Amino acid sequence: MKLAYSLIISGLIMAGCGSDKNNEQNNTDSEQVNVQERTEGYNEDRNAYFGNVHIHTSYSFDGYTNKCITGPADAYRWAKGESIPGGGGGGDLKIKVPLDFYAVSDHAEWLGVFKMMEDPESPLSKLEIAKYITSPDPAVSFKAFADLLYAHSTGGAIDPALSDTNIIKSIWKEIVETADTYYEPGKFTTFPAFEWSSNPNTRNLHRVVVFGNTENVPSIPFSSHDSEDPEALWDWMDQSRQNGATLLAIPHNANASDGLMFSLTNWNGDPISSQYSETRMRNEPIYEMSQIKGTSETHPDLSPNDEFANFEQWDYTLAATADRPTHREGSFIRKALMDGIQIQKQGNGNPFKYGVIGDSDSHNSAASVEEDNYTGKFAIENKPEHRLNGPLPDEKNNRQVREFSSGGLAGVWAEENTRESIFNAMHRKETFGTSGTRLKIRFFGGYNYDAADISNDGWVHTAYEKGIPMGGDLPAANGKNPTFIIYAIKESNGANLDRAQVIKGWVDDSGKQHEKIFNVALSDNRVPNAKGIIPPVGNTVDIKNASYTNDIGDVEFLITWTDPEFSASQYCFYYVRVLEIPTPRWSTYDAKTLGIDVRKDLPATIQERGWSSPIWYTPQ
Amino acid sequence: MGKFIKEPLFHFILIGAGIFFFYFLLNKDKSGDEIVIDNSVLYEITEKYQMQWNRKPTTEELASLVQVYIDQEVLYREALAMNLDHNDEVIKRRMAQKMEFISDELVATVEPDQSDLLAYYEKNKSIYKKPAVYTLTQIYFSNDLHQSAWDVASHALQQADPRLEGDRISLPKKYDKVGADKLALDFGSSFAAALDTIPVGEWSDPVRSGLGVHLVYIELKELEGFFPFDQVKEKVKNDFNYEEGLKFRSKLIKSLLGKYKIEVQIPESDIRNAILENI
Repeated sequence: MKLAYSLIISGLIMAGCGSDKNNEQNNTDSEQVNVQERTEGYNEDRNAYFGNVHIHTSYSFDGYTNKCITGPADAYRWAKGESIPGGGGGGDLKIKVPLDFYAVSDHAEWLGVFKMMEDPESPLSKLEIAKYITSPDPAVSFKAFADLLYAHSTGGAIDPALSDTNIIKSIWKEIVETADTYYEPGKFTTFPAFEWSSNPNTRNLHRVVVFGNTENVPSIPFSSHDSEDPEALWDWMDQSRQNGATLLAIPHNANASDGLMFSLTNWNGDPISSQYSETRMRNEPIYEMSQIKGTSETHPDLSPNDEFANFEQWDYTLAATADRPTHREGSFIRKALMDGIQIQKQGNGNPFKYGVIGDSDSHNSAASVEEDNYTGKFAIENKPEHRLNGPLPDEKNNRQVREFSSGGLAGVWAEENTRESIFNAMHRKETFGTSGTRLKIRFFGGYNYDAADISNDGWVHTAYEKGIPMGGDLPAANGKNPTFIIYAIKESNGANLDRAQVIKGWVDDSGKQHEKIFNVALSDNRVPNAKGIIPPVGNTVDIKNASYTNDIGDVEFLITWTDPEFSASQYCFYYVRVLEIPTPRWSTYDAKTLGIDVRKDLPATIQERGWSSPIWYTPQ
Repeated sequence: MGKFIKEPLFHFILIGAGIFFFYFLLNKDKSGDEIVIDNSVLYEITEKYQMQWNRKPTTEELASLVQVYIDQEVLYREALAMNLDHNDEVIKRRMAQKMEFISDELVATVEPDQSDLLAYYEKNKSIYKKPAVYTLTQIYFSNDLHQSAWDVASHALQQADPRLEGDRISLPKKYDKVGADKLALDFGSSFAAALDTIPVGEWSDPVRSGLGVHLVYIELKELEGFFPFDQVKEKVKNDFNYEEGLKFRSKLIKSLLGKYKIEVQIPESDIRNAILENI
C-alpha cells in the first residue's frame, strides 16, 4: 500500500501540515530529456511562431472568483485546439487555429486571499461584500462589516494561507509538471510561468515570469507579498539564475501604472543608475505591449502627430473604482524607449531597452484573441450580452469590461518550435507583437543592404549575413546611413495590409526627444498627395453583418528603406508598425450575434496591427 | 480486491480518515489560548525564507518573522473564534479547491494499463487523426498585381511550363512532405481543404487561398489517416488521465452528495424547476 501511504502524506501536506520535515519534494531533479536533435520544420533562417505566455486559470484567485472552471491542463488543451468548458453560463471555448506555444502564468499570490479581495480585477467579489453590507438583515451586514474589518486589519501582515509554503509548493509543482506533460518538441511548446502582481496604490507593476525549461525551477514562486519592489524580483531572479534556472520577466500594462512602470526613478525615488539599467535589462528583455487591458504603445496625448495612436486604449488604473491615471509619461513604451536612450546618453545605461510582444491576460484559460471568437477576459463574460452590456450590476465596472480589447499574440522568430529556440528568441528580442492576428513582421538593419538583396528567394539568409535582426544594435556607422529591410505578410485567414511604418525616436544634440513616423509601404499603389497626406485605405466593413472583404489592401510588403535623416552623433531607435485594413471589432461581432445595433460608445471597426521589436543605434 | 484498490474513491475515504486521525493526535493536548513557538515553527519560517531568498534569515530577521507569525496566529484564532471563517466565500472556495487537488492527485497516481489505453484510443480515434501530407509545387498569382489573378492563372495553365509563370511571394514554391495543417497556416484553411480534391500528378485548375490564386502540382500525397497507437501513446495516456480526472471529480461529488439532503426552499418558479433539474 505504498500508494495509499504516500497519498496520505501528500494529503496531509495539502491539508496544511506545517511540521512535516521529511517530505522535501524537489522538482529540480525531475527527469529532463535533453532534446538536442533538430525537430521537424527546423529552419536556420527562422520561422515565425505564435503563442501566449500570459494566461490565467482558476488557479488564479481572480480567475476563480470570476467563475473560471478550468485549470492549467485545460488551458494547454485549448491552445492545442480542443474545446474546453467556458463557464459563466456560456458555451465551450475553442480556438479556430491552434497556437504554437503557450504558458499558464497564474498569479503567485493565488493564496493571498484577503489581499486579493481588494483586487480590482475581481469586481464580483467586491460586489458580493457590498451586497451583504447593504442587507436589511443586521446580522448579515454586521458579519460583512466584521469580514471587511478583518481583511483590512490583516492587510499589512502576511496572509495566513500564504505562510503555508507546502501548499504553494505543491500547486507550483503541479503547474510545472503540467507544462512538461503538454510539451511536444517540434509541435507545441509550453513553459512554466507565474505572474508577480505588484500593485502599489492600485498602480500596475505586474510582470509575468517565464522559465525556459523545468531545470532548477525554484520550489516556490516570488510574489508581491514578498516584495512589491521590482528590484527585489530581479534580485530573486538573479539568484534563481545562479542556482541554474533559466528565466525572464515580461512587464505589461504600463498604461495602468499611472507612470510608475517606466518611472525615471527607482522604488526609493533615486535616479536610475547604470547598475539599475543593467539589472533591469538582464532580467526583462521584452515588454508586453498589447493585451486585453489595452495597448500601451503610445497615447494621443504623447504622440499628437500619430493618427493611429488612439488604438484600444484602456484608460484605468487597477482600482475597482475605475479611476483614471493622470500620468501619461512612464505609462507607454514609445516614450519609455526615448527616455531609455536619453538616460543612456547621460551615462546611466538604458533601462528600457525592450523588445515587444502582444499577449492575452485572459483569466479563463483560453486566450481568445480572435475578434470573431472572443469570449471575454473572465468566465463571467462568456456570453455576448454579458460582454456588451456588462456582467456586473455596476456600470463603472461594466464599462471597463466593454472596453477590454480581445488581446494580442506574441510572435517569435525561432529556428524550431522548442523551449530552447523560442526562449532564446525572446531573450535576444527577435520578437514582435500583434493585436491578435497572425500577421508576420521581419525587420533587419545594416549599412550594406541594397534593393538587390531582397530580389531573390534567399533574401532572409542575406539579411542575416549582412545586418542584424530586430532586437539588436546597429554597429558603428562609418559615414553611412542605415538601411533597413522591412517585411510583413498578412494572416492567411485574415485581413489585408494597409501600410507599414517605421517609427523613429531620437535625442538631439541639445538633449531634446523627437519621434517621427515614416510611411514606408502603402497598399494599393497609394502615394501621398501634394500636401503629403496619404489617402486612407478605405473601409469594406459591413457593420450590420460584421463582415469585410479583402478588396482593398495588400497581401505582403518587402522593401528596403534608408533613413534620410540619420545623424551618427544621435542616439536613436527604429521599430516597425504594420496596419491591417479596417475589420469589425469583437463588440461588432457580438452585436450581430445578438441582433442589436453596435454600441455608440465603442468603435465599430478597428485596424488590427503588429509591432516589431526595435533596432537601436548608439553613437560610438 | 485488485479492482477495489484501483478505485480512487476508496483511497479518498482512506485519506480522509488519515487526515482526521492525524489532526486528532496533533491537537489532543493543545489548549485554545496557547501559541507555541518551537523548533518546528522556526524551521518552517526559516525554510520559507531560505526558499525565497536562498539564504537563512539573520537572528534579527527571524525574530521579527516570528513576531509576524504570532500576530497573525492571534488574529487567525480570534477570527476562528468569531466564526469569521464561516460563510466566507473565499475560504469556501479555497477549501473546495483543496478537495479537488486531493482528488486530482489520486487519479494521477493510478497508472492505467495498456488495455485501458488501447480501448481509449480505439474509442476516441478521431482525436488522433493524422492530416494528409503533401509534396507539392504552388505557383502564386497576386490580386494586388492583376485585375483578375484568376484569369492570369488560367492563362498560365496553358503555357508549356507553369513553373515559369506566376508572381513573387515570400513563401516557398516547393513544399516537401508537409502536413495539411501546416499548409493551412501558410495559405489559409480553405486552400488546405481544397488540396484534398486536386488530382495527384497533374496541374490543378486555379485555387483560391487567403493570399490570392494558385496553380498547384501535387507530386505525392499521403492520405489522411490516424497516428498509430505506439506513436501517440503518451498523448493517449494524458488524454485518458484527463478524462478520468473529470469523471472521478463528478463521481466524487455525487457520492458525497449522498451524505446530504438538499432542501430547495424556494416557491414554485422557473428558477426552482431549473435548480431541481440540476440536482
